[in-house]
Amino acid sequence: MAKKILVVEDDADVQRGLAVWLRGNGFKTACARDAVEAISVAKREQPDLIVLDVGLPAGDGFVVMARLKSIADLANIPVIIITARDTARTLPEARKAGARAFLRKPVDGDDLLYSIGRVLSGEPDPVP
Amino acid sequence: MLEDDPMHFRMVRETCGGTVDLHHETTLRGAIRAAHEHKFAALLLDLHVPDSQGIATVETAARECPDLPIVVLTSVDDEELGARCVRAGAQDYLVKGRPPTRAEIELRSIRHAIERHAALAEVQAERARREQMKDEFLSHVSHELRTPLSAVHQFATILLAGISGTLNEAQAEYTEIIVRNSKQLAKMIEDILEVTRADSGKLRMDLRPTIVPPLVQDVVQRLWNEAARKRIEVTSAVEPNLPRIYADPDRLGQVLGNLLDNAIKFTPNGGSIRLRAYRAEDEKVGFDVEDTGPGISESDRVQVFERMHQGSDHPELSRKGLGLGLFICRELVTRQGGRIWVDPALSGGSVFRFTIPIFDLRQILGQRVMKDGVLRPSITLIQIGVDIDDRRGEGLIVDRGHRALRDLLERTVYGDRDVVLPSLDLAARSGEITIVASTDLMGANALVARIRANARNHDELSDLADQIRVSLSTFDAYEEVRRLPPDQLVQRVADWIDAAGVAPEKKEMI
Repeated sequence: MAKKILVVEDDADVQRGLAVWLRGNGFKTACARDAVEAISVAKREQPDLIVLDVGLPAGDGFVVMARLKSIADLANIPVIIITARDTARTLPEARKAGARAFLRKPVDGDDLLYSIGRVLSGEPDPVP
Repeated sequence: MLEDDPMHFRMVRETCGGTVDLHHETTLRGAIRAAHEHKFAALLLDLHVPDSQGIATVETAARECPDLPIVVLTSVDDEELGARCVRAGAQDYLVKGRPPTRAEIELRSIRHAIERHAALAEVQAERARREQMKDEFLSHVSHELRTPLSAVHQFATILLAGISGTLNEAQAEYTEIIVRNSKQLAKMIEDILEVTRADSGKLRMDLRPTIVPPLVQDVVQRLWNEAARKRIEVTSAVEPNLPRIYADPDRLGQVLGNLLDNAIKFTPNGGSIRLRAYRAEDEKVGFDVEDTGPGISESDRVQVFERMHQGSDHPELSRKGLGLGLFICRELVTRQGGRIWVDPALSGGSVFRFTIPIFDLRQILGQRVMKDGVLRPSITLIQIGVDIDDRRGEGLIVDRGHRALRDLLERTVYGDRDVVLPSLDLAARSGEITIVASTDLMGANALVARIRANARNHDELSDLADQIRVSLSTFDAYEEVRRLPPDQLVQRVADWIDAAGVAPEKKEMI
């Protein structure tokens, strides 16, 4: 069965691009555009993985990660962080928050698939 | 000196004697003109001249000659007027016809000191403010640029992958050009940010013991497609048994990536690139990236690492980029304690070479246990041992799994605690590692973390143990002391500390 990925991204074009790319590569997708919606969609859709932008309205990606952790049936969903923010500052935060992979924008399609593959196959692959 | 009264001018000239060279003007207009024509050290200013009266004289002079210090001459002994002149742009004032008393000179000197200090503080604050604004601006701009760039890149990738229908040959080629250019643009944005960080001293380095081979493999893998597109053959050779280096693996990957990226850019179709890592002199590991490109002229070889350097024209390179890549490489290598340069290659191309220091436990130990030049009063030791038998150790079971182990090590080793052993990057695949912490081996000052490998069957166990041994055996110095009884262990640590040059009289404090 196709795995379901939740894409949390506030920019409509980037969100659509990610979703189209993932669907084109055999995944099911759900989308959210801010921190609040991210939680409600995650509850409803129970995705296998979340691709999460850091710069979001209504609380950034790390706020979303903290909230996910506090909800029992969402706490173990692996998260891949994507960001346009400064890597030097964001990477350590992502590492601390327990993100499973970290990708810089513009996200390369193949890199994203590679990371998703690794995370979904359960490889112990925390952010390096 | 602007002074319309010849008697006053003569008086000042006599007072100053031969110490200053005086140029005389009688009108403000004349003085300003003269100031523009000559290079004066200061302007002595009478407030009341035919073409200007009072404070306005100072204001006009300060406005017209902003670089010239102004000293006002007053005939009235009026502190208030003097102060107003200073506020209007003069640096100081003198009372004509009366040399200042000693007390006045002292007061003036104090006032000048205060003013200079305030002015300097203001300049510094202003500079910091601008720096901060520049950083924020660049950070903001790069963030905002990346978002639309993301959309361009993603949709071009989607088209190219045929997700929305198959492209014909020309369409595919053109779309590929979009993808390639969006990547280039992303790299430029990243470079600008890096340079800004380097300038403001915010380039972060997370130095740790680092194994070389995966770094080289990773960068080759990352740029494989890029090279394949130009039919460039990329080979890599890592000398066997290279010691660990002390480096930031992300940053080092960035340097290798930049160099390889450049090599691909400059090597013509069908050429070749060689990566090499080897033991170099002076406790360093050397890295070479050799290409079969056009080479770099001798005069350019030093210059290439300068910011915004654009090499001599190569006809095959219609576009040169920002010229920041090698500058960033130099910054990153230097900050990791290495050196970078370029040599001509026998093939006619170039060899970019850099060195990175070997991981040296003693040196790091010295840094960790020292504070302000003396040994810290208490030091925590972390000992990591492996038991391959299946008995559970006594003590507190902290956590399970390799991430937990890494967390513990990172918290203690990279945190602000007094810790002497750097992190071991253990590759524990099965996640069946138990950390047992106890404090009994060396008393209250010691934390001993023992790792026990609990595997479900014998094969898994020995597999796991082998992996851990491999990691540990790279710590030669550590292996040596691993089995020592506590008192000898302390002595050995003390020896290391001695070797690192710490004040010996504090040794007993361990």
